[in-house]
Amino acid sequence: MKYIYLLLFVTLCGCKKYLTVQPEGSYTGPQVFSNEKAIQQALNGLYNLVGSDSLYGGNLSMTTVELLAQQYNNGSYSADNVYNSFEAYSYTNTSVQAVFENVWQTAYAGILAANVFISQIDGAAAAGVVTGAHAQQMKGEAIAIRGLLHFDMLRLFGPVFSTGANNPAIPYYTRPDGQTQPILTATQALDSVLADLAQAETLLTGDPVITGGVVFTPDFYAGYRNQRLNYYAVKGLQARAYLYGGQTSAAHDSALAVLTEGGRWFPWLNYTAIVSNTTSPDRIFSPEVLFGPYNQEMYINFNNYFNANLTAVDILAMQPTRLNNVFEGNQNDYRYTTTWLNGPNSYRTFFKYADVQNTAAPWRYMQPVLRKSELYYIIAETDPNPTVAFAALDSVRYNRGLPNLAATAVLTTEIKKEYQKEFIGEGQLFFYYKRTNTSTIGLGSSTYLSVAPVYQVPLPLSETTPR
Amino acid sequence: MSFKRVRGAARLLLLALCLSASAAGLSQRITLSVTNAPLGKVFDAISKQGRVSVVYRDDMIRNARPVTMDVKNVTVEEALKECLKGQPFTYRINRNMIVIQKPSPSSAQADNPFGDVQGKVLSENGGGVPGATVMVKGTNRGNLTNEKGDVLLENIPTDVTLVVSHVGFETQEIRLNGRTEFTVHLKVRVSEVSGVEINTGMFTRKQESFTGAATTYTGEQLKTIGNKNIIESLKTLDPSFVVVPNNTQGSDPNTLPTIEVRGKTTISNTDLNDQFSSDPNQPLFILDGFESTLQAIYDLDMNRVASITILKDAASTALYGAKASNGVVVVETKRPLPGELRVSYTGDFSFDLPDLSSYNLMNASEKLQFEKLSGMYTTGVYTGANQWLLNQEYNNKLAQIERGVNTYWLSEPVQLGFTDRHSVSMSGGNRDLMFTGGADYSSQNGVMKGSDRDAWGGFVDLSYRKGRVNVTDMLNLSGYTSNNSPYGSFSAFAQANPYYTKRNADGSVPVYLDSTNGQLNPLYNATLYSISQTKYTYFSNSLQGIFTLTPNLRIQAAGLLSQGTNTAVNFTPPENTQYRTILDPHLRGSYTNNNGQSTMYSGNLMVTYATTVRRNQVTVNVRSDISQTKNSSVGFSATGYPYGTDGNPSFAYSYTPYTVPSSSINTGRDVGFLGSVNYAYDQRFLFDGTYRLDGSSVFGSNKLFKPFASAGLGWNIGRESFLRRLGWIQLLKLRGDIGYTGNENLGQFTSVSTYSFQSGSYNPNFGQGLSLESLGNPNLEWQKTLQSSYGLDFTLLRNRISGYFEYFDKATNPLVVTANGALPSSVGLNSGYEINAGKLTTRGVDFNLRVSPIYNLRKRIIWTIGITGEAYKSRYSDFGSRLDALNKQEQQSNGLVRYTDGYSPDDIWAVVSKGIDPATGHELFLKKDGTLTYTYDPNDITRVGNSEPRLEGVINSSLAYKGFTLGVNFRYRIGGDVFNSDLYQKVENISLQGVWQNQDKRALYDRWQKPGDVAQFKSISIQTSTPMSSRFVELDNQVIGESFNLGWRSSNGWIRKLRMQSLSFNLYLNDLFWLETVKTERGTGYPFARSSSFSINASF
Repeated sequence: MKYIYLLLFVTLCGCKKYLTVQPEGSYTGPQVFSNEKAIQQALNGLYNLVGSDSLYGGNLSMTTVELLAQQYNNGSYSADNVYNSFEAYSYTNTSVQAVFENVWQTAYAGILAANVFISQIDGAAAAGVVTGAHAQQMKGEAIAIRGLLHFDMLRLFGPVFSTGANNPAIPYYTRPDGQTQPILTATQALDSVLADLAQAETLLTGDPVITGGVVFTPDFYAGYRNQRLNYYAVKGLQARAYLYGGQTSAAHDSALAVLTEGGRWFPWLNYTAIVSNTTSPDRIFSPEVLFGPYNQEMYINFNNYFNANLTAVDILAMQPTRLNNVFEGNQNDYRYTTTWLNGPNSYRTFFKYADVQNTAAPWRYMQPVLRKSELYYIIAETDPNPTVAFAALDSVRYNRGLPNLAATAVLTTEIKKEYQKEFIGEGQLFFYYKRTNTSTIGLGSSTYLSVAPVYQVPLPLSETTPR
Repeated sequence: MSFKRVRGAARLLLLALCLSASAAGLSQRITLSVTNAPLGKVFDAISKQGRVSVVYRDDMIRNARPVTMDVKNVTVEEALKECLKGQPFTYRINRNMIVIQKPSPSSAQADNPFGDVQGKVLSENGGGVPGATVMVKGTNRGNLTNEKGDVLLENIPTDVTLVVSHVGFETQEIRLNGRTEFTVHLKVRVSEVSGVEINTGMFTRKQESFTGAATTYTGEQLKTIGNKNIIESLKTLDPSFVVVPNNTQGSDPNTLPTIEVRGKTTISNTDLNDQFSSDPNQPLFILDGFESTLQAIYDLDMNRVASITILKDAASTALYGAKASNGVVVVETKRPLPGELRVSYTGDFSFDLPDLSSYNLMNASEKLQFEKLSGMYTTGVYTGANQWLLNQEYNNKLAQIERGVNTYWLSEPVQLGFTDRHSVSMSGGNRDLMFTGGADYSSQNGVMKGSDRDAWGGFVDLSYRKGRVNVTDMLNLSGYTSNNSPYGSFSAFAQANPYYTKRNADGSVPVYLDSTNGQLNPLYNATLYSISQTKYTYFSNSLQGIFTLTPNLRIQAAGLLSQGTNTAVNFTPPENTQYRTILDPHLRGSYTNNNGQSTMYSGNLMVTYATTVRRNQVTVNVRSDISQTKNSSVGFSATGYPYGTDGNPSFAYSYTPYTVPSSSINTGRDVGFLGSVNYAYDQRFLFDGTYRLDGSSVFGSNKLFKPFASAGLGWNIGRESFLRRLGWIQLLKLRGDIGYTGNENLGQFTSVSTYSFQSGSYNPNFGQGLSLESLGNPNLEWQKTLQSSYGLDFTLLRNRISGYFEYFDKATNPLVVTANGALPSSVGLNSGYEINAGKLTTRGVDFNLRVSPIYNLRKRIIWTIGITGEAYKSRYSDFGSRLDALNKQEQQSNGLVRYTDGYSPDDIWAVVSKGIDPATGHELFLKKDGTLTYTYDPNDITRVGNSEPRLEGVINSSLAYKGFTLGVNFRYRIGGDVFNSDLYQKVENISLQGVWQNQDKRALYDRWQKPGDVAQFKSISIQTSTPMSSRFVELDNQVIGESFNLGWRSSNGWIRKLRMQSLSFNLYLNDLFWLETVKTERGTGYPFARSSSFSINASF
């Protein structure tokens, strides 16, 4: 009997070895977090996701939300695009639903990945894989990514804040444990966003950008800070989030802090330099961008959506009369002269994201998500002193080649006009309308018709009805 | 089976005496005139006329002289004397028998020192049993009974024991104890009546002593249903083997069916992430003792199948432990038989006709009228275009219609499908070395043009038997090439508008039907050269050795090595309309190539001990298995082709930008230890016990081994003496079992998170990126199913009534649920993450009842009618708080499936609709408080139906007359509800794009138009989307003409003259009609087919 037990024991031990199969073809979490290069790649992976076509590389910048803001002319129907369903706010259209599904699922997949990163990075620092300072900076950025993604899900899928602050909005995830989180009200969700941004701000107090500005060196921690959620970008996002929640003075303070502390690192665009550079003009005004992730598919998207050779039903371009109206006939506006060009068509088309010849340009593939001008607009909107407010707007106008506003100008109207001009293809206009709960806006496909936007995109079916 | 026994009995004849004729008396008169007749013939004539038994030994009279005699009206004795004149024989009269013997120098007494013993062998109901063997125990002396059951044993002592045996009866022993006469009543052997052996894939068991629920079908039975594939036939034969209808893929020959045995054990996950995973509700397939795949069974040549056994419950499936929860399908192919070389050919031919009868589309003028009514030509409704432009468009279309344009698009992509399959096999050998081998080839053209599947296979089986050793080697090679239709999805043709023409006047196919509105011609892409092809080859070799140590102890070892390789190639030419909007010619056209390889080895060792001690029968099996499966795949894609190329990857401009070659490798290893005991007392009380310890690399490192067990009890009531005496009960068995099984199909879960490099993303400033591939779940518990099953098997009135009733209960706890889909997507988990949630209980009944009003074996007429059925209900429970939050959130949506304790996974959820208000044309909803409202409120959602049929099964009838057989099989489905997506999408909820497509006629005719209309559907002019309500949920009863078969088989007469052993023909009609109460489009992506087939089999 003893021998039988012995035989059984030997057999089972042998089996244990036999049955332990190492997964091939993927990296395990512990492997990643025991290697500094791999940790950097994991963080880079988060940014790549943020800059992907599903999020800021497409849907949240140049395509979907811009369609919702009626930026483009799409009167006719085409067999394989549903642009007009977006402009009709047909959120139950299956093609439209699929797009929002994609946005939602990619964003929350990014949030989960960020949460895994956040939960592991301290351990890696404790194990000496990365220095404490670097761990702190990366953790701050990952938390900021989490805040940014949640905030834009709130802006898109949440209620109009001014009227529905206590309506259900989105769930907020801070732990990578696979547990479902409840759907929070808009206020609760925004508070969580602000808490994350505040925590990120604290963790990023050692950000090299504060002392060294934006440098284009191949240093993972100090280089290309404008393509990372740097300290100022996080502060800027705070300003945007406070304003969204109606906390005007906090928004004002944050915006002002960025401009006073970090304004020098984000100078205004040198217009003549761009104009003289005919082959590689910096149409995204990159020096002013506080945060712009790497958008790998930027130039593919340009060809898919904006290329002048696309047919009328497939191209995304502004209705010519509306374009003229938006720029108030002012064709000297830098944003017009550099970006809206004549091609083979009877109308001007959008060249902001056209590729350039200089492949070494540090801003190539950079997708603007937050730019300095927005902080001026926030100050204009929140400063109790109208003189300061107009001065803020005029600062931007000056740097766009426009004269100062007339004394008769109405501040809110002018701010709206600025949003309409400044952020074409950057996805901020729809959220401006939503924040201000604008009842009607001009229909993208028409020069004279208006439409009442449906601001709250319903939560995707995968969220509300799994299966 | 029974033929073999007869043949075995025939061999006995040679060593026994031959007894002929009857016993009446010696008073009969004989008239006989013969010339040179063999002596035996003369004896036969005498016994016939004289009504006596003339007993002689064949070998004794073989050399007797021929007889010439002529007698008239003489006594039997006189006739005998006459014919024995000059022959070296005498005769002796023993009561009613006349015994022919050799005269000996001594007296007859000396030749026969012990004397004769006369006996009568009767059946339980008193009739004589002819052909029974009566042997003296311990010797090879004996005799067979004659037609009346009489037997004479010469020269035997009267203190011996006789053994009386006959096929179909139980063997009995009789001690003579000095008697010279005996009468014995034989008992019918029950197992011979049911006659079925259950092959569990590991060993065979007599059904009569088995306590599990298992059904066996022979290859011939499969062939009585159809000749397409095994799966199609099995679904008609067995009520618990359910092929889930696939309304999208219809009769696509390249889509594998979805199969369930006794309902689901897991919440199905349709978005399987890799090509090697299988449906988690799919049963386990065992082919000739080794694990196989659905693909292999689907492609297996039906003519090779010897038997298929479906193991359904714990007692029968626990042998497979961790893989057994969904049932096991055991397929055995035909084994070689000794004998002369036999060659057999089978040809199967089938015509498939597309079944488009479920489509109810508008014609050209109806469609235009619909468009007008829905506001397409009114400015401001769908478009802001000028009214005169819209009028112009309307008039242009009207002009086309007036010109006679009314295109029927559905007929364009379909064809009459034709399939032919040829299989040849040969077998032969002596008793030591036997072989069988064969090859088959089939070519199938689906009902959509360009979809086809060519399959081929070959096999060689060798079996060597010498003494205690039996070695078998089986070699298989098979493969297929399949192409998908270049016409794409059938739905594109259902959507095309009838007022457009298919082709230009010159016959060319335009890209656009209407270029100004971007309406594409669905035919255009089919005119281009494209590739959507899969090639597969498979090789396997298995070697099995059986060593019989003693009659009671046997050792068996087997091993298998197999490899499957598949290559999938897709090429979309640059001219394809999907590239219309892509301006860069370097991005037009694409090519993908994926290569997969699956290698498996498997081995097992088994010791079987079986013994019988008096009435106790015990069989013990101890077995261990080991196996490894390694799946790997690698693929790449290329983008950009010059116009007019043939898809050769070297013509592509480049690899697809920002992609990397795809690759996956995964290895799974299993070991298992099994002990199984089967005990029977007097064949009346039965016990089965199984214990299995499974180790698997998919279990995760903390819990490498999992135990599974089952126990079953059975009672052969029919063998109790009080019932046996009745005579009309051949089998009556009550059985029940309970046990745990697992489900390994769910895939490999890791307890750690995994990362992978992001494909093609290289940020020049920060380098490569890693993305989170899956989140680890260290707390996951494996899914286990507790199954219990109770059944009653019966065979009554000598096979005239047979069948079974079964009740089963499968409780899976905890469920393993893929988070992706089960949890809100905001959790961010993809399909690699599984959670434990709740419990799923499925309870149901299966039954199979067969009655033969005519059962005449002598005239060879059997008419049988039968009904099979299955009904089950599934219930969720213990979902608890995990998904509570989820259910609340669901109320905001219009989804249809809920996870709620006490409800079924098949429930349909929606707001109860009270129909369309005749006054306004708006929908009236029922609120939970009972009031009516026009406002849709998700809070009012309740369960409005259940998609699972109350009862589903097959009603069949078969008639066999001599060589002819006729079979009909109708499937019925009663009581399931269905969400009619046609009504939801093609009658209401027609979006702007929808208006541009052709729609169901009901969208025009059955919608509300003016106050007072009592209509089922909302007004055409209401463009707002309709939420899901009970209005779209309908009761769906179905009757399907699943199989009709006419067969003929013969193995004598002119067949023999043609040097054939047998010849058979079969004609089939499959899926002839489909009647259902719900009107909805079937086969949306690929049409269903009605098929008529023909099969011929000849063996030489």
